[in-house]
Amino acid sequence: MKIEVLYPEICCLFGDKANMRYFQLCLPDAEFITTPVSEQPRFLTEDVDMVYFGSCSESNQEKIISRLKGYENRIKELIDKGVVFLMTGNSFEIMGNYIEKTDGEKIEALGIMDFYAKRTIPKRYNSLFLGKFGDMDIVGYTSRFSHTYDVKDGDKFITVKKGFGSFAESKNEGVRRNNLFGTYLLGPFLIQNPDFTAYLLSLLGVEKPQLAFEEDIRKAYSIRLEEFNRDIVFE
Amino acid sequence: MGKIRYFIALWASKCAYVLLRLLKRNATMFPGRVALIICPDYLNRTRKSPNVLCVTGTNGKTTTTNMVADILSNSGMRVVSNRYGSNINTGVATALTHSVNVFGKPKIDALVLEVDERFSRLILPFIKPDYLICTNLFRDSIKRNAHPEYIFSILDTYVPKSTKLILNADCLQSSQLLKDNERVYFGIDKLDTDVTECINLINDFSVCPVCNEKLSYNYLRYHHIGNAYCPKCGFKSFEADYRLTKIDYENNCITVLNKGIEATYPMVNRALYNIYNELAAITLMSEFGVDADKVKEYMAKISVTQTRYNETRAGRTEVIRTMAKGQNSVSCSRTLDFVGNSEKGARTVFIMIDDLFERKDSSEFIGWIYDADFEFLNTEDVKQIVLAGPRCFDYKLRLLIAGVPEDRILCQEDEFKAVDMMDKDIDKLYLLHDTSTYDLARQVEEKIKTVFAAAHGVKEGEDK
Repeated sequence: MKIEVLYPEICCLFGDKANMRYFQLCLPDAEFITTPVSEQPRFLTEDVDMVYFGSCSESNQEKIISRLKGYENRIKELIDKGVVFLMTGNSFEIMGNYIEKTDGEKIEALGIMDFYAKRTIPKRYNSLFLGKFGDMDIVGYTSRFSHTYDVKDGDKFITVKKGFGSFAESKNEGVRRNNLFGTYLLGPFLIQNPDFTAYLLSLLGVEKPQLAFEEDIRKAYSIRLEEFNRDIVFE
Repeated sequence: MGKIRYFIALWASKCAYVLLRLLKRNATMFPGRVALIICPDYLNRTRKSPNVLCVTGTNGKTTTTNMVADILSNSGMRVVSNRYGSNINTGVATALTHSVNVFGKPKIDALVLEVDERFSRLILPFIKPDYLICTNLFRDSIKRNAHPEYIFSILDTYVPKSTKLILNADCLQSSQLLKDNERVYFGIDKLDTDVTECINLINDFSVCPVCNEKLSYNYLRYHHIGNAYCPKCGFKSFEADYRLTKIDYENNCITVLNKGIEATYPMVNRALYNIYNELAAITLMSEFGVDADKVKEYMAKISVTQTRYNETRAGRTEVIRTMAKGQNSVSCSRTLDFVGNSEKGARTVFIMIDDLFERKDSSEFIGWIYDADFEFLNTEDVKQIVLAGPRCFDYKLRLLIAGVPEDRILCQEDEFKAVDMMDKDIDKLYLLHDTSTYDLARQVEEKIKTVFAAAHGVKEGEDK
């Protein structure tokens, strides 16, 4: 199994590195490749099973778009083949049609999915998050300078119970296409959501997924879930 | 009308201060808030003292500002400073209220202000500092400060062109600021303890801003602090004008070289990040024209504020209570490095660094703990790690992922119960707390003293 971690030196803003670090503990035999921004992604020329991007600054988003421009068809091919893409924080915005800056200028994105993002700098949106994906309760935290709009029904990821969705009042959060998952939830998303982590492992073909430190991760998750279901301040 | 409004604001602010002091309150922000409500351009309208010196940056602002204010005060200048960290616009407004008389005339020689980097856009264009130190730029609270590039963009936009900058040559994030402003750089020469590859989880400036190549280091201290260069295009760190050439731990002094002249100063604190703060203050004082001998004289008297570090005894155990700022992965990492690596010998680490205010009616974002170097606690000398507070199970998971054996971890939500449960047969205990858990940490420390004294069979306050 081959998992590519893209641009970790710039896509690692808010504890996002922890996702693949933990995933590596769950998959000790998998090959984890880190690709710096100065190099071309390996997935362009090799078969990989999973690609991960974490949160990045707004200027680095633009850098990443320019690095991946011209490879949209390859990325679509991988998505259609069922390669797992996990994109946390604002990284998934590059998959849309464009990102609109605060001054109205539109930065053309990769156009792989049909939505757009809009920046709100200096207004920052912070909230706890509680939602649902299938039978799974998803918990997390969002903190960002942007929103996502016009996500099509078939591309929606998580249903919002509490907290900010794709835009503040949205009932949906993030995007999904086949095994591509993009979410504004940032930081140790996989550590905070053991059920989703197990689900990703099953998508990668792991039978009976075993999570590292399972008892402790589930204890922390159940405490957080109980907390988030109470009447606490989310924003 | 604007002038009338200003004077009403000034007098109301002064009255608010007097009233709060009579009520024995701190009054570091409210008088300023009153002033700004009445007169929104209060910062602009207030006549400034002849000299305005400001300090901003992610870490080290308070320490550096207090050093500068102390040196100037002791040199005979009349100084107003926003001590104790009231560094947003209301705190600055309060300081301005103190800096002028009832007629609005400056009654001081120097205004020394700590400026929150995010609030700098509401402060610096109106204060128009003569000098501005930027200690460093790192990632900080995600909610408030987002990421270092965002803070950089604020400072780069709002610092006046007339301000002379005092910048850290060893911090590529901040040293790139305002290329057209007059500036000097400070930096520390290569140390024996330096490395060439980053061992920390976080390096906020690891990629060449010109060609995207991975930066290399002539020497690297921690995170991105060091002397870097791009092996591909030649981009590199700035040269320091004020170079710290020697740290003498035995004699507790540092040597600084500027324009071919060396001067030796007392070392205020041994931690490297505080040596940077001292060097920043020395640089500013030299540029400002304070005699080096005067600076040395006052450095000998200064100590790092007691809220940040305190040593005491609990029975036969040495207890060191130290701040490890929560939500700030770099600041916390510095403390973890110090606690884990600064000396040999068995120790216990008691961690209560969650945010006290968020635990009351919300829940804290714990992503930052995965950017903090808890791996420094995975050493043979750290025999026990006690985790307390509502986030203790998240911290336990973090330590397990860091490789700490589970049998060294004690996890208990209630801080006081944790004291009862922990192993007391220890020589040294580090008690780590957040800024918000300072008072709680002091209470826990008192309990530790009582419980440990009893366990060691000594009277509380006696050494065994």
